[in-house]
Amino acid sequence: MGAVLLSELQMKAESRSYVDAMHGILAHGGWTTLAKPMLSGMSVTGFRFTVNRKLAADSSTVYNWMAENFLAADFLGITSSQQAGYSFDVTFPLYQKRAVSVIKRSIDHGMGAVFWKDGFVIAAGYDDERSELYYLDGSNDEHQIVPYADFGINRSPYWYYQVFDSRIELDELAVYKESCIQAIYKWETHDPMLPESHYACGRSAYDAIIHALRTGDYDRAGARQVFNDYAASKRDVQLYVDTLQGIWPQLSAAAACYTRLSQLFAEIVGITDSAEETASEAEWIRLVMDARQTEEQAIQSMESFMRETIDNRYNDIALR
Amino acid sequence: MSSACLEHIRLIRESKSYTDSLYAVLTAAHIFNGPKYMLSGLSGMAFKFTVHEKLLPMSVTAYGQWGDEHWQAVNNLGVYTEWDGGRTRHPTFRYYQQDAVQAVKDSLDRGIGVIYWLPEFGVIYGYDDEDEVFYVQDGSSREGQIVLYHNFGLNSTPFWYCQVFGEHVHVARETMILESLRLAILDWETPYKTLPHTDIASGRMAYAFLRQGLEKGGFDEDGAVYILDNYLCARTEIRDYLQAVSGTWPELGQAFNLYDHLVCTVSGIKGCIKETAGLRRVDRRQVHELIAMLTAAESLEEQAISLFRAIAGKYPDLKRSTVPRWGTHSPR
Amino acid sequence: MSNMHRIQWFDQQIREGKYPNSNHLAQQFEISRRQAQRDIEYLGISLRAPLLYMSKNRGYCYEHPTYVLPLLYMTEEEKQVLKFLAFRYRHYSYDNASAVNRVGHLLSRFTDEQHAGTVTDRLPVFDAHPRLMQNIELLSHAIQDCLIVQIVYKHPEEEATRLGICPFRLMNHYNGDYVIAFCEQQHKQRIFRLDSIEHVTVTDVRFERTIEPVGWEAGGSPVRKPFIAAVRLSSPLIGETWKGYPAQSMGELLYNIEFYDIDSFLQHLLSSEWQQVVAPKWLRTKLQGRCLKLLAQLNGEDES
Repeated sequence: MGAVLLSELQMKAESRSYVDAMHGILAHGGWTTLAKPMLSGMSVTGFRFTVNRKLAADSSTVYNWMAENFLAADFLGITSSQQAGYSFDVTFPLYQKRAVSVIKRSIDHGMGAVFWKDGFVIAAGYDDERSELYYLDGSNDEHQIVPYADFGINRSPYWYYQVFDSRIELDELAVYKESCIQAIYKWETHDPMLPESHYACGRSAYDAIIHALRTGDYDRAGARQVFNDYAASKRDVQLYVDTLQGIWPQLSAAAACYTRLSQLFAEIVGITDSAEETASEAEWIRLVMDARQTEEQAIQSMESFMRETIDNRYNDIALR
Repeated sequence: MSSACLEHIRLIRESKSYTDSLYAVLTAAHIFNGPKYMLSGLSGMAFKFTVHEKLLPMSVTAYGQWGDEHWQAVNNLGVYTEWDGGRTRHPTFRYYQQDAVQAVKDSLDRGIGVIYWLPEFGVIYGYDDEDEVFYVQDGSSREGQIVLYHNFGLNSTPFWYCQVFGEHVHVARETMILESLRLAILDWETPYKTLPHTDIASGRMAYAFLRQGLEKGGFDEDGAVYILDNYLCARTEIRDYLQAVSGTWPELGQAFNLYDHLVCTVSGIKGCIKETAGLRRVDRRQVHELIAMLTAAESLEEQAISLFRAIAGKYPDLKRSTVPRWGTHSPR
Repeated sequence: MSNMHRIQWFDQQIREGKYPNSNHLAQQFEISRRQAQRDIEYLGISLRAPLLYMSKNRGYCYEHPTYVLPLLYMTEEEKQVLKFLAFRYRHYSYDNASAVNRVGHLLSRFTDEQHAGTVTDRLPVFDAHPRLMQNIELLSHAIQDCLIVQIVYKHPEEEATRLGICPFRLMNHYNGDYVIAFCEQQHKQRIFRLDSIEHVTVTDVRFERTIEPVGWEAGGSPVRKPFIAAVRLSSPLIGETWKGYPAQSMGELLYNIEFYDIDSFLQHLLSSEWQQVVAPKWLRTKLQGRCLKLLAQLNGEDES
């Protein structure tokens, strides 16, 4: 094959998370007509809340991609193939070759592919004669280039890709219900891959943020990015749960909480540019504490909605 | 309609079933040369030791999430690998199954066997499109099992797993050995490798579970014997492995001595397992003796791990100085 | 039922010819005489025992010795609840599913309570929504008797619609209850969510179950398919099995025989009459292997 470009593919970076890429690909491929907030909720990505204790900027992408991105697709009834590793690994060239081949095959079938280029991006085309892949990073509509030989070599030491293979029909109501349980799991559980000394997840993430803000021991530029990213996720989740309450009025309390949560995060982001840092920090802390309590209430509401299934999953509620 | 049969693959059950299967596949494909204990050591499989608090037989294979554990094991050998698996009850299973069936056939066409969870782990060594079956060795007999394409992945457990292999690159021996020591340290120091389950312990903690399980009584009889048999086999593998690589670092020679002593110390365990009416059972009257041997062994092993740490500490560990984006996760 | 063990004791006493009366029952279980009398009334009326009071023995016996205490005696309401639980337990698909599914099958056969408690340490608990339970009851009845059902179906964000359906099978799959049915208006098989069915009316119009449901497998887990051997027999089969193995005629004495366990089937082949094992190839190979092994053993014996 010579050159192929999926020119209609688009990507918009908002939460700067995996779902930005996933939505772009699935919407273009006709595998979803849903808006990104719905996908964010259904895939559970929007409910993830992990922070580096120093509020490093990459907090929103520090998680187990292989496990979680597989699930994100699986929750939607989409089968996928993916690989990840360190680019300095001796076996990297073998995986690099395979990755490029798999991505090209996906593009040939009209589907973009997700890969990591210091952020999740969409592979939208390739040119065998020039040995180049074309990708979108969501910042604009320009296709960027990565030579095959440079695929997977990033500022960060990781490489990763995911292609979507097939799609099955799922009862969307079942998917919505499952996402509620998974959201609770995310709230309560620390990601076993992350050292607790450096990272906090779910409810504990709020505690970690408050601690960082109080002690002043954190990366200021990073914190702004973290709040920006998660403000977009919380916005997505708000729209998602709002849709769910239309089906299940029992979720109206949760929907109200997520609406408030989204507003709080918008406020947090809003005071980012405040000139007086200590004043903004105090305000940040107040808003974050409020957000923590609000999200706690939302989760409790979802817990009572899904009580029966949660109880019957005993001590591992995330396992379907 | 096609078929393939890799007659030269021979699965012999001695070690962990995954190690036995990996050895069968890689040696038949000329990707690995050497004795099984070398593969077991270099891949880190020998060092995996997990025990359920009730000494259930599943302990021996419950050393973590297989995808992650096996990928690290095989990657250290410089071999490309892909794995597939999950819960058979999940809605997407049939699609993954169909893909896996094709991937297995492709691998067999390329002349490389495939590891498959029967349960235990076995090796798929052939297929036949006309009969729509795979031929699988389980190590128990020369005949092997037959699995219909339609039933691929369906077994007595709720999960399925298969793994294919590809090209390989040369990895410097020292690099492989060093990483195997790191894997050993990780397994020793991580108390729970199948979170959120905390009824299965690993490494140092597994010793505690084994002792407590034996002491309390009420343990699974088959499981206890299986765990002890496997434990003894693994310790012998580690000893032989360390002997083979002892020239690489002086500390490894010392570690070999410790494991050599350990193997002697625990050699009495076999005598604590008695056979009655065709069934092997732990002799309850000798439980205290067993526990004493295990306690001594644990202390020796702890010293050996310290030696591994001393070696590992001399070199930067790129793989663990940054948090990866794959690895430990809860069952899904 | 709290009086079940008392009733059972009383029944046993009668069978042993001990002519128990309300005093004996009251003393045995330290209950009031009035309560004992109520138990006996329950046995006679609700459980339809042919009780006969023998004045000369001052106690009861059974008029008909053939009477058997029903294994499970409960109200219709209680039966409904158990039926619903049985449905749930049979379809439970999770990591200890087999134990739970067995409970479901036991409940389905209405065994008495004494057994249910010992099967597993931790049984899942399910809410019994009255409307859901009733709809399952009605649909089960319609499925059994092949009756068309009128439903009012309201999927979220859609208008409520009246539909006539021919239900095939109920199932529980991944967070939802469903009925697989052929929809008359849309002329196709559909899967309906039970909690989107607002109303169920079972008609007395029968439908022909000519179309087998396709697609979704019942419950959460895929079903294992049996091996199929093509065997030419010496004479035609009467019925649909070959010594217990399901058999389907393919014409000219050729049958497709279903089996799961290879070793058992090989034993069966070695001890049965047949003309030819046509397929599969692997079965022929294994059978050949067995025969060669037997021959070798036989020759070995002769030589010694």
